[in-house]
Amino acid sequence: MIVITSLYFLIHKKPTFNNLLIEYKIMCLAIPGKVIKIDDDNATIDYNGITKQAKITIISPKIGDYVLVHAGFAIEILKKDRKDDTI
Amino acid sequence: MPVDTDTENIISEIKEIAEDINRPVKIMEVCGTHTQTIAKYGIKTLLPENIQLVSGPGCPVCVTPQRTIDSAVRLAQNGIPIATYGDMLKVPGTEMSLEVAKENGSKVFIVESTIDALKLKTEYPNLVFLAIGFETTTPMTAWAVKNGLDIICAHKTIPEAMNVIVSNQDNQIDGFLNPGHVSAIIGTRPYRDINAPQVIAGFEPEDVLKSILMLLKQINTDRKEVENNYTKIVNDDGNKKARALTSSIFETCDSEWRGIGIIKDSGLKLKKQYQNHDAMEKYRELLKDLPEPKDNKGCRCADVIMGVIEPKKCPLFSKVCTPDNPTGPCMVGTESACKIAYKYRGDDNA
Repeated sequence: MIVITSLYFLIHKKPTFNNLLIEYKIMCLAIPGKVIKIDDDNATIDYNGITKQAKITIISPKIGDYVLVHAGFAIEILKKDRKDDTI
Repeated sequence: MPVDTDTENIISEIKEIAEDINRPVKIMEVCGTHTQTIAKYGIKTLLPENIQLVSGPGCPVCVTPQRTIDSAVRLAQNGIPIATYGDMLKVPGTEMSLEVAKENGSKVFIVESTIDALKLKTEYPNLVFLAIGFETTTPMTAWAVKNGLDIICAHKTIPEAMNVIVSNQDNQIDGFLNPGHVSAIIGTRPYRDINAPQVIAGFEPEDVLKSILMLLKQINTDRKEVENNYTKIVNDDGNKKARALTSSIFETCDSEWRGIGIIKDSGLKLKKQYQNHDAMEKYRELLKDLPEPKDNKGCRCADVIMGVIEPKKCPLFSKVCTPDNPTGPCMVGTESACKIAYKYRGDDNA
C-alpha cells in the first residue's frame, strides 16, 4: 500500500510553481524561469506569469532563455528549451 | 490515468540490481534538498530492503558552528543589525538563537538574497550579513562584499566534507548522490579525487531514482566514477564566472563544521584586500569572551549529518526535539534531516 501511495505521489504530486515560491527561501532550491527583459546585470524573469528580478552577474543569458535562479541570482542557463515545475 | 512506465522500469531495475548485489548498501544524499525529495515522494519505500538512504552534511544551518551563531548574537545584542537567511534564525547557539535575540529587541532581519541585505544596509549602515551556504550560494556573497556588505563568513565547500565521510571508519558509505546545484557551480572535476561511486543528481523524484540506479550499477560492477545525471544544468567545467567571482573575494581556509570538527581547506575567508568587510575582525573587541560552545546533551545531529544514524534513532527525536523547540540544528532548517523526518514522520518514509 505504501508503495502504491508513493508511486501515486511520484506520478501526480509534482510541486506546483506556487509551492515553489513559498519554498523559495530554501537555500539550495533553484527555480527555473524565462528571461523576458535584460537591463545591465538585472533580468526580469517570468515564472509562469509571475515576474521577479534576478541578477545575471554570473551567467550571460539572452532574452527567451530559461535560467535557474537561486537566492536572487540566475546561476545557469537550462540547456533544453523547456521548463519543468522544478529542477 | 497515465502510468509512468519509465519510473516503474527504473524501480524494477533497482530491485534486480539490489538483489544481485545481495548485501546492505548505504547511499548518502549529500544535499538537504535531495533529502526533501526523498521524504516527500516516499522514495525510501520504493527501494529494496538492502538499500539504505542516509542524509549528509549538505545542510548549511546544520553545519554552521555555534561560535558563529554566538558571534552574530553578540553583535546583535550590541546594537549591530544582523541579516541572514531565514533558516538560521532558529538554530540554537550556546546561549540563545538569533530568533531569541530578536525577540529580546535586537535587530535581526531575514533576507532572501544578498541583494536584499545590501538594500537594508542603506537604512542600517553598520548591518552585518551572516553568510552561510555552499558553493551555490557563495558567489552571491562575493558580489555583495564587492558592493560593500560586511559579513560574518561561514561559507563552506562540499567535496572536502565528502572526503572526510569516505574516510570515516564508523560509517561505510557505498555511494553518493552529489548535490545538483553545487555541481552547477563547481562542475564534475572536484569530485574525482573522492574514492567512492558518485552520481550528480537533479531534484525531481525520477532524477533521484535514476541516479540511485546508476549508483547501484557502479557498485555492482566495482566502479568508482563521477557520473552526471543532471546534464541539463551541470557540465564538467561548472560556472567559471561564478567561481572567478568567488575567488576574487575569498580564499580557502580550514573550517569548523558543527558536529564534525575542523575540516582542512573546507571553508572560505575574505582575502586580505577585503578584510575590512570581515565583521569578526571589525568587532573583535565585542567578540571577546564568547561562551564556550556546548551541544545539548543527547543531541545526535553530528551522527545524523555523517550518515551514521537516521533521525528517528536519536533519543530526542520528536520527544524533546521538535521544529518548534529544536534541541539541535538538524531540527531547524527546511533542508535539515531531522526536520524533514519529523514533517513526514507519519508516512514512515522519511
